[in-house]
Amino acid sequence: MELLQLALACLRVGTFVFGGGPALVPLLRDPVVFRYGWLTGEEFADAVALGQMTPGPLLVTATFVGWKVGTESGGAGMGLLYATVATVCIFLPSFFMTLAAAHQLGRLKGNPRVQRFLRGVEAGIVGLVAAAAVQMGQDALGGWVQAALCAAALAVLIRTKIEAGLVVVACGAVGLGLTLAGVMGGPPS
Amino acid sequence: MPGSTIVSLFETFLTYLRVGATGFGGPMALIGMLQQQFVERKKAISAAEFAEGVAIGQLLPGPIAIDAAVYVGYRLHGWLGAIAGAVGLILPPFLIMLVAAPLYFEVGKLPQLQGFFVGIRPAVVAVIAAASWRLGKKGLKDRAGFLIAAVVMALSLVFGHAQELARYVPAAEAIAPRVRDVGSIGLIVLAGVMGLLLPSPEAPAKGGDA
Repeated sequence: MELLQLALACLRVGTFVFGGGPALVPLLRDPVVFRYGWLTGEEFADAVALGQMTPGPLLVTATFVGWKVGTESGGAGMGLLYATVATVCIFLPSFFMTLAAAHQLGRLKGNPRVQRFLRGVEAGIVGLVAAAAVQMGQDALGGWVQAALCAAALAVLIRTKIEAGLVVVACGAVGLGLTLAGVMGGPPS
Repeated sequence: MPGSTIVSLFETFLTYLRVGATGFGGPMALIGMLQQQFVERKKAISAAEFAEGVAIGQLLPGPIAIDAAVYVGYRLHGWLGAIAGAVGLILPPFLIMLVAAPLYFEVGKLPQLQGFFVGIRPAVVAVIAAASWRLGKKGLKDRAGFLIAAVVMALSLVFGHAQELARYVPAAEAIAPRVRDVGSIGLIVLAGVMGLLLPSPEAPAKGGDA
């Protein structure tokens, strides 16, 4: 049952991730964190970070989700199955849409209604992703050190061409150093 | 296609695997690597055809690089090529994530390592904020665009709040998860409909910024 929910959730997300990676965050967070509670907010943020640190599209964050849901329901074998299903399902919609569009590109691009709809979607994604940043910021920026780290990372990402994955790893290293030095306490566990 | 060479299905798949395994740096880096391999080195597909694949990727949902890879694969070898494109590009990150996820749940719980995660979470927030900044610079071209983005952002934040409210107001508990579930997808559809209805200056939209 959970496998079916996971497959459907990933298919739905895969159908609507306009603009690629960033839109994944708000879209996948809805079912994974809020509707089914498969991941905590912190785990989801970590999963996105892992997706960022690995090569390839951010959509492999779904692999992480599948692994967690599967292993919890029945060990590593289930983890592999669920991770595979989640990954296939999140990519499947864009696979078929691409092939369908391969013959229709001219008509799609020439259609003013399609154009206007997609321009609206493009603008909407900006707002959606911005809201996701605000919401995840509320969870992640508990202290001034975290806020400073976020501001510094944001400045680097906007002003330079340094890759996002590297920035994430660097911030992790800073966090590790600061907690080991006792400047910043880890979360109570 | 004058000057194009035939690349076997197997070689196509291997090329995708290589790009998938080394494709750090976001969608445009992946696109660049695919272009370098299939257009410049192997001359398997013309630059114009490749650009068409990228244009499809920008139009449709899903990662642009995957869409372009599927398109190029399809042009080279039909259905099998399309599958080779998708599987080849996704398999390496998929396998890496299958190693990373168990590691995260085993090693990641070590108290000594918590600082690492305390550090990456603010970074993720920054990555998402920077993505929205970049998308906004590209996608918000007129007043209608700003309006749509603002409305969607406000509604999305309210939907997030509904979940919090539900913690204190039992009556909202039943509705809040449903609101969230329709949430982001519903807002994307709303944004598209607003785009249809709101007046906007005739955009050139020739797909020049591929």
